[in-house]
Amino acid sequence: MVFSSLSFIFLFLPALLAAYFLLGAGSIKIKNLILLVFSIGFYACGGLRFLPALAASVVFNYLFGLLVSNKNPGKTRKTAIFCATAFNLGLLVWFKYIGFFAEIVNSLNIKGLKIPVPTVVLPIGISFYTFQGMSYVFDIYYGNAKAERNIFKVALYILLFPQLVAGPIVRYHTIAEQISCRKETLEGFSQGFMRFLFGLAKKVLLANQLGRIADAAFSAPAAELSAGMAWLGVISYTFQLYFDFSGYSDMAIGMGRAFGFSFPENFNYPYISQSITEFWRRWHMSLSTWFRDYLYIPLGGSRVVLWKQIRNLLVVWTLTGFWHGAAWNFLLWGLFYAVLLIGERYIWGKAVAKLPGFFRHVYALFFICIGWLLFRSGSVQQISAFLSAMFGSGKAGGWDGQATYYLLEFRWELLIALLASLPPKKAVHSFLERREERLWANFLLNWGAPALSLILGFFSVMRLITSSFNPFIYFQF
Amino acid sequence: MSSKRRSQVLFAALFVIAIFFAPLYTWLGPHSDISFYEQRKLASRPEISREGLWDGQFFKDAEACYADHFMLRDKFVKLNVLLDLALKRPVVNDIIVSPDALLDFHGFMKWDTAYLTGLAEKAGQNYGALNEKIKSYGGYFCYLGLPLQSSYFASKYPSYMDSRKWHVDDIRAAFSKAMVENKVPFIDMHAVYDSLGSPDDFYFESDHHYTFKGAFAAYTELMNRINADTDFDVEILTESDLDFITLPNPYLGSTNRKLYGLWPTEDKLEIAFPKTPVEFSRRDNGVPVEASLFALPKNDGDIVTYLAFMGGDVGETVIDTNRPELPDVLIYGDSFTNPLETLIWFSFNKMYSLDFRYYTAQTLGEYIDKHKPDVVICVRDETVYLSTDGNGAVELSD
Repeated sequence: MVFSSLSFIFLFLPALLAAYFLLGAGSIKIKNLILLVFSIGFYACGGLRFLPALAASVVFNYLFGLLVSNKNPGKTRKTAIFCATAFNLGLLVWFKYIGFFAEIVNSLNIKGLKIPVPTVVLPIGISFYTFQGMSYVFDIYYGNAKAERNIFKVALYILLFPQLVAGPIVRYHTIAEQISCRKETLEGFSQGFMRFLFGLAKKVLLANQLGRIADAAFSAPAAELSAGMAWLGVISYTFQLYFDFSGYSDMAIGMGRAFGFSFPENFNYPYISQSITEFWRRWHMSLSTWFRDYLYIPLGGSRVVLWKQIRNLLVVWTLTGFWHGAAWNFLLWGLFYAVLLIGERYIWGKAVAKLPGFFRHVYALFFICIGWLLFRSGSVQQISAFLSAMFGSGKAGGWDGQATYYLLEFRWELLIALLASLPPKKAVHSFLERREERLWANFLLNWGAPALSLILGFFSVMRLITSSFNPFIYFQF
Repeated sequence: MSSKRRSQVLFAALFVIAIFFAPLYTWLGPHSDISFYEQRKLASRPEISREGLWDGQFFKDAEACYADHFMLRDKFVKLNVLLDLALKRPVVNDIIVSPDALLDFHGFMKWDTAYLTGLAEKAGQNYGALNEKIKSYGGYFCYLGLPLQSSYFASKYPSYMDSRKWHVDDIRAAFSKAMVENKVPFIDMHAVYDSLGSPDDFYFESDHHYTFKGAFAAYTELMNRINADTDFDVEILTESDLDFITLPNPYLGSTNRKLYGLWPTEDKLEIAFPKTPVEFSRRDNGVPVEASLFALPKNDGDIVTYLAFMGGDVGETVIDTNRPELPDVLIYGDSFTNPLETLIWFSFNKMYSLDFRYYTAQTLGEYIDKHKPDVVICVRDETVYLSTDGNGAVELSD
């Protein structure tokens, strides 16, 4: 089940709200139980076959949590943290990477070695909940949180449906207290669901629409793309990823808030960045901080000799790329960013910083777009052909009818995406706050966001319904 | 209560009312199993199965069913079309909204058309065999090829769009060549329409079919060809033999149907009756039905569609005028046959009409063996000349 579906918004959500606020009124234990049951139900909608891996993650991380607690001897704790890491990575490797590794081994053509490629179905959200499980054990090991004796609380932390399948990756110490003690408020409820509706609009009205341009560009033979269409495809994909992912995060954070949780922010207008380093401080922040705190810093971070600093960056970014998917393009994407970040830190960063702001934006956006091209492409050949098309060596030349069509068809989405990826909200808000004593400004401050979110919610639902439109020229009764 | 708090209360109330009201209305409100505008059955409730629950298919099907039956679905989709039209999108629901016609959107894919030659040779041989079979008992076969509206109005496509004329032209060329090589009587109405100056009113603005005028031109060409190639000397209706009627009803064309009829159009349905009435009986799929050629709406304000011609696509229709001195005709093909049938029946004793997309009782060969019609006419649009599905399946019994 996804948030941007009619059954989630108009079946799951009302059922959960009714159960949570009516049955659970006054009792945090009942509320947690309701959230846990609904979270399991939410996950089970993807297929019951995915539940065993999730259950194993909960049970084993719960046990490892008890073992790494500082009440135990150091040797036990070290063994347990090693086993916890091996278990969680093993879970990821088996479900996500085993086929990829088997194909690599087979492609080496080692005599007498032919590994059968297992067909393992990837459980939904495994990358996210595995990292949350590890966060739970690591936080206890490093003394940032206490081991939880109640397995249901651990289960709720890992399974909590808003962040279960696509983050933000909530670290245990962030919400450990909120699981036991939190307060839902009218403000939290309304602000939370306003944010949910804004996130829904980002996903449905922008990401899904712009995804159609990206799909057209990336599904066509890259050599036949005009430069215009190739750029349009990459730019649309750049917007699509942002509005899809940040929209989903907004929905998750918003729903969390409605239920009294405070999830960390995941995006902070990444496309206004003026360097790649800044971009990664603004993009998928919960993942970058996870890698920073649980991998980069334990490896020594930047407080080691130069070659080790470079090694640390390479390790972190290779794994970041690999975390996104079991394919060469993701590895390439991770390494691409490793090179850029190393370059900015040690070679050209100071020179870039001296450029006028506009050129710094262009520099950052250019490499971000190229990064997304690597991320999306299915092969090195496609990357190469796409790059050729982008720089005018494609068969279709500089511009063609396809580019004109997509530009005209989705001009409104492109324009709104451009504006929405900038931070005008803050500017508008502070403009209105400065004039709060005026009636119209006060009215807009209080009623603008609720009204706009409801309007966008209405249009999002309209689009969701329309996605089921499937006409036939000849009747199919 | 402060203004901020009031806005929070009102928002929360509206949000909760909306998410609780919609499922209740969906459950308790009016239901339909079909979608008129999409011409399809709506998804039915999925059955619970162990496999479906295990792999998640049950939940996917349930989501599809819920979306199909969601409250006021038609109104929401209609509003969406209205919004897209207001935003001046060039393509809405896969229909190109050009200033004076609604046209099929074909995308931008290009491919090598060399493969068409082989397919055309095979199709030519099939129709050659069919022609020989019909000739063997003294009958006559003719293939009438027609352009689709999108092909007829290729020049109306915006310059940046692909009308697929390059593809259709190559299909026409390959098929025409194959038909000549196999000595099969073939009428390329695209060329005939071109020679007549391709009048705009031969095709609807908002439907992929031709109008009655376009059909009448095809009828005239076809009947002249039959008389030129045979000794049947069939009577050919001229304009002066017919009473033409333009229905006042709003016309809902197939392309406008995808836009929920929201595109403003001057399209009207024209029909014609012979001034000299001839009595006939009609059987659809073996069952006697009302002896009529048109399924007309009861009120002038009701929507009329292309299905008015012969009541739409029917597997088998037999019109019997009980005039054994006249030859029998079999006409088969897709929906382009329907307006032609309202004219052709007049000149024959019996008119058999088949649509092999729906008729499965016999193959074409078996049907011909059984009825030995004097004239057999295949009517297809040029985009499906090389198709071997449905009405393109030339299955002969020997």
